[in-house]
Order: sequence, then C-alpha cells, then structure tokens
Amino acid sequence: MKRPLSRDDARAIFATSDSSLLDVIDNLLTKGVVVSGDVVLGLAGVDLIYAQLSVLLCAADRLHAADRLHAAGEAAE
Amino acid sequence: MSDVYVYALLGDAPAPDAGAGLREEPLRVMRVGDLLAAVGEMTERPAVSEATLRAHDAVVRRLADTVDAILPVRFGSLLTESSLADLLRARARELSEALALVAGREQMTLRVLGDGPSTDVVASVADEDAGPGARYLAARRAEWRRAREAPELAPLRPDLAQLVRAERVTRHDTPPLLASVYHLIDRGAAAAYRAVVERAEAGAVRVVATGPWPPYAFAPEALG
Repeated sequence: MKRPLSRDDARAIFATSDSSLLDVIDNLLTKGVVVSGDVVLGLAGVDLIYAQLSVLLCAADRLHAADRLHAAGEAAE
Repeated sequence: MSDVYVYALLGDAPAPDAGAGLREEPLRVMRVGDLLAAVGEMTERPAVSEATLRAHDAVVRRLADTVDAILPVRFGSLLTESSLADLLRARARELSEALALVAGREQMTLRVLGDGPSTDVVASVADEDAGPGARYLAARRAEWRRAREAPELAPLRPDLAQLVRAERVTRHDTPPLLASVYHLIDRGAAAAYRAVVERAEAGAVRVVATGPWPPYAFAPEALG
C-alpha cells in the first residue's frame, strides 16, 4: 500500500521541474481529458498524480458516454 | 472526410510561423462567425501519454505567444468540421465573452497546501426557525459556495487584488493539497504576482505558485 503523501513529499513534487507535468495534467484535466489509451506517468511521490488521474479517468468515462450519444445522434440523422 | 483536432479558440489569427500540431500535422485556422479555431487534421484521437499531453500543451503555448486572446481546448477533442462549426455557433456569445476576458491575460496557478481543511471553513449557519427544506437548500448553497472559495488566501487578498482579474477555485481538501486556485492576471504581471505569493506568510498553510500558463481554467467547456 502506498503511504500517504506528507507535506514534505508534496513540497518536493512542487519544487522539482516535474511539477510542470502536474500542471500540464491539471490544465488539460480541468477540461476533462479524453482517454483512448493507457496512461503511464512516472514521478517521485506520485500519489498526488494518481489521485488526479483517477479523476481524469472518471472524466474520460463521462466524455466517452457523451461521444457515443453524439455518434448515435449523427447516425440517426 | 477527415476530422479536425482542436487546440484552441483564438481572438485573432495566429502568426504564420505558429508551427505544426502534436502529430506534426499543419495547423490551420477555421473561422465560424467571429470565432477562430486552431485545428489540425487527424483521423484518430491521440492516445493519452505524458508525451502527447506535453505536445498538445506545447502547441497551445506556441499559439498563445502569437495571439492576444486564447481559450485552450481540452486534450482529445477530435470532431468533424461541421460538428465543430455547430458547437461554436451554438455557444458563440459565451465564447466571445470568455475570449474578451482572457485577452491580454494569462493564468497563474496557486496550490494551497496544508495538513487539514482550513479552520476558517465554517459549517453552514443553521437557522433554527427554517423548515427542513429551507435548511437543506441553505446547506446545499453553503456547500456550493465553499467548493469555490479559498479562505486560506485571506492574508494574500489585499496584495493580490490589484493583480487578479478573475479567479477559479477547485477545492480538494485532501491534505496536503487543500485547493487549487487559478488566477487570471495581465500578461507580464507574473513576476509581481510571484513576489506577492512569496512575501505572504499564510500561517499554517503554504501556497505555491506556478505559471504563467495559457488560461486553461478560464475556457468554457466549449466542445464537451
């Protein structure tokens, strides 16, 4: 089991250049990322990223559902 | 007919040297009414990976450097030209307003770190005289408001006020990450913004600023 992130871990994440990866995910995630493949991201003390990715994957499920509806609507036209 | 992958909506046409898309496809601008969309032709959605996320972001940044107003579009928006045109037409007014808000501006991201939810976050005030329905609605309202507030930033507010043009808050309340706060600032004000954040002694919480970024958090869910 992963240990929870300590504040020091979090600081370490934000202090490294990899924090830009967190921001890229966060920025693209704000809009909900459409997933069509596996996501593999490596980062020290990575729980925070995984927490965000789980949200991302949920968002993707919703979007895929919307896509299917959209496709069904187009097919019906 | 091939589909278009959408990177951003733009307030004006990008410079011709804005480069290629994430698959090295040529970028082009689609005009729908007053709206411009920066798109590349693609046949299938790119898989999500660190490389493709960064590549998408790099395209958006390059575009942002050449235009005054940009609304970044989320990763993975691949659709037919006609459905893109329909979506843009249907939401033209909202998107134009959003473009006006971000014109000449960029985003800073503040992460509020701490060991637990802020003690300033007060539970909703229960009105003893109200009925259960009214109490429920009041609680829901308080919850809605709380999800969009960052009381931890109170010590920074006076200095931030002159720099911040708009704000979006996402609360996480999962220590150490308590909230992400997105601020829209004038382009070129990032150094002043960082100085305010670094000067601030926010007590039990710590705030970390990153940016400037294209205004991702201020783009409506245009194509959702």
